[in-house]
Amino acid sequence: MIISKFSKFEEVKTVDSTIKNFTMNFGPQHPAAHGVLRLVLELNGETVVRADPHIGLLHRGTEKLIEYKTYLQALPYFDRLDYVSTMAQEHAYSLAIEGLLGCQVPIRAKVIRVIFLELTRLLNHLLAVTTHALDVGALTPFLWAFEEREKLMEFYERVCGARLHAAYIRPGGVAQDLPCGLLDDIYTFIAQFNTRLDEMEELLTDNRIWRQRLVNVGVVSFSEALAYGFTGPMLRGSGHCWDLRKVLGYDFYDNLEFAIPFGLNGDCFDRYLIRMEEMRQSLVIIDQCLNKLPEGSIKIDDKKLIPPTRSQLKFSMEALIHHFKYYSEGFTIPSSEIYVATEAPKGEFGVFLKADGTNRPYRCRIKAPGFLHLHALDFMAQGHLIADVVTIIGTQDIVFGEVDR
Amino acid sequence: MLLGEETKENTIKCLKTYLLMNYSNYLITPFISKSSTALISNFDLNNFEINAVLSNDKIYSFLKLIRHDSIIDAKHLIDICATPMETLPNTLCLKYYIWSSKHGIRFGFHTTSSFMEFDSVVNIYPSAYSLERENWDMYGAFFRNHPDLRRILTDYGFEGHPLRKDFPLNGYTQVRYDDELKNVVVEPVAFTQAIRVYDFLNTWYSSNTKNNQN
Repeated sequence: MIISKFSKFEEVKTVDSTIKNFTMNFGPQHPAAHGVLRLVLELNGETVVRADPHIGLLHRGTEKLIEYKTYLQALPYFDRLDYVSTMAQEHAYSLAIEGLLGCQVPIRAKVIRVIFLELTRLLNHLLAVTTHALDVGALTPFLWAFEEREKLMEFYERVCGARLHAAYIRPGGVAQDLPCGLLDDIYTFIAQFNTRLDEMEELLTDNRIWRQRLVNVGVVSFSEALAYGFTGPMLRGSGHCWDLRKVLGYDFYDNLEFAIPFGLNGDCFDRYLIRMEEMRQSLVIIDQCLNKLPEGSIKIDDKKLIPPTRSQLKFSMEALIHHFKYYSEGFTIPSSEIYVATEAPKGEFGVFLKADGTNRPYRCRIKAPGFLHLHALDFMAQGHLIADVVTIIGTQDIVFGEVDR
Repeated sequence: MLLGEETKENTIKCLKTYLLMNYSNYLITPFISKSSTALISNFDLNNFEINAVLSNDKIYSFLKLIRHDSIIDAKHLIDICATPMETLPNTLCLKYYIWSSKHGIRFGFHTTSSFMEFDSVVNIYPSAYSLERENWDMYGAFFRNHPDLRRILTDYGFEGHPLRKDFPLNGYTQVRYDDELKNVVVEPVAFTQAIRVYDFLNTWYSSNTKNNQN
C-alpha cells in the first residue's frame, strides 16, 4: 500500500498544460472523520501528498470561559473535552488544584478514583477500537462494544447520577461515596469482560482483511514519535515503554502491579493490539483495587475546600455558612502555577493551571493528546492511499472535543 | 521504569548541576523551586520537574543544544503554554514542557517577551508546529521562521486574538445565516441579557464598573 514514503510529487509540465495535484476536501461532515474534521488532502492519483487538517469547528472557547468561572464551576468543562473518557480529564484538573493547594487526598478516594479511571479507560478503548473498525469496515464489534459501554455507563450513573458527564472526581477527593452493591456489580462485570474482549478479538486480530488494512500503515519510528509529541498508545506503539502511571505513580498507581504493552513496528496494527491489551490490564488493575479498597472518608478534611454534607448543613450554622460560601464564591488559591499531566486513555492529558489569589483561575491551559496526534497526520499519511488516511485517523483516536476545546 | 524516590532526587540534583555547569550562560534564573505545596498524593512534584527561566533571544540555541545533549535527552516536547503576565499587560510568558525519557524528568523552560515575538522551534521539535500556531491564534504571539503561521482554532476571517485579557468574553462579532442573502453574515455581538459577573473580592460596591466589566 505504500508506494513511496519520501518521493516528492511536483508539478509535471506536459506539452501544453501543467498537471497539478488534486486537492480534495475530506469534509467536516463525513462518517469516518470522527467528529468535525476538515481535512484538505492533496492527492497525486490516489496517493496522499499532503494532508492539512483544518480544525476549530468544535472550538467552544473552553479556556477563555474557565477564566471567568470559579474552580468548582470550571470542573464540568473538563468532562466535555474528551467526551468518551470523561473522568480522566476531571482527574487531571483535580490533581492540578490539589497540587496548588498541597492537599493529601485520603486513600479511599484514591482507590475509587483509580477504579473509575480504569473503567474510563475501558470506555475509551472500547469506543476507539470499534469505531476504528467501523471506519475500516467491520461493523459488528462496534455494536458489541457499545453494549459493554452501556453497562459501564450504568456504573457511572449509579455513582454520580450522570451517564456521561460525571462531575465526580473533584478537587479534594470524589463527590460522593459508592452506593451499596456497586462493587459487587463491578466485579461481575470484569469477570465476564475478558470473554467479551476475546469475542471482539476473534473477529479482528487474525482477520486477513483487518491485517491487510492495518499492518504497515502509518508506521512511526521511535524518534519520530518523540519528535512529533506522541504520547499514550501512539508512543508505545513505536517501542517506547512510557506510561505516566508508572513514571509518575500518582494516586495509588504506585501500589498496583500491572503491565504496560508496547509495540515494535509502530504501525496501526500494533496500536490496536496495545489498546486491546491495555483493556485487559485495566481489568487486572480494577481487580486489585476492589481487593484493596479501604474504609474511610472520600474527601479531605479541610472545611474550606469541600462542601459539608447535607445532614451537617441542616444542623450547624458554620456548615451552612461554609456551604453558602463554597457554592457561591468558591475557594481561593494563592498565586502559583502548576502543570500536571496524567495518562488519559488517549495519551498524556496536561492541565496547566495558574492561580492569582482569587477564586478564579488566571489561566488554564489544556493540553490534549489528540491535538498533537492529529497534526502528525500529514507526516503519517505521506504516500498512503485515501483509505489509509481513514485508518490512520482511527488509530490516532481523535475526539474533537479535546482537539478543538 | 518505576524509580525509587531517592534515585529520582539524585537524578534531579545531577541534572541541575549538569545544566549549571554547561548551560549557565543561557539560564537567567536557574531552577525556580516549586513551593512545598506542589505535593500530590504521595509524590512530590519537585521530584519530576526542573524549571528554569531563559532569555528570549537564547531560547532557540538553548533548546537546540538540549535536544542533542545525550545526557539530558530532552527529545519529547509536549506543550508550549502561553500565559500573559499579571503585572505587565502585553507580555507573554511561554513555557516549554519537555520530557526527558531517559530519566523520567520533565523540564519546564520559561521565557518571556514584552513584544510577543519568539523564535520558532519547529526545526528542533516538529510537534511545535501546531502548538505555536495555536499560540499565535489565541494570543498573537508571533513566531519567527515558522513555516505556516496561520489561525487554527478560530473561524476563517476571525479578527483578534481571543485569549488575550483585553478581548471580551462575548467577543465583538457574531455570525448567523441570513435566509434572504442565502449566506452567512457577520454582525456585531448582540445579547438579550448581559453575562453576569459576580465579583466576590469587592463586596461593597457594584461589579458593573468599567474596570470589572468583561
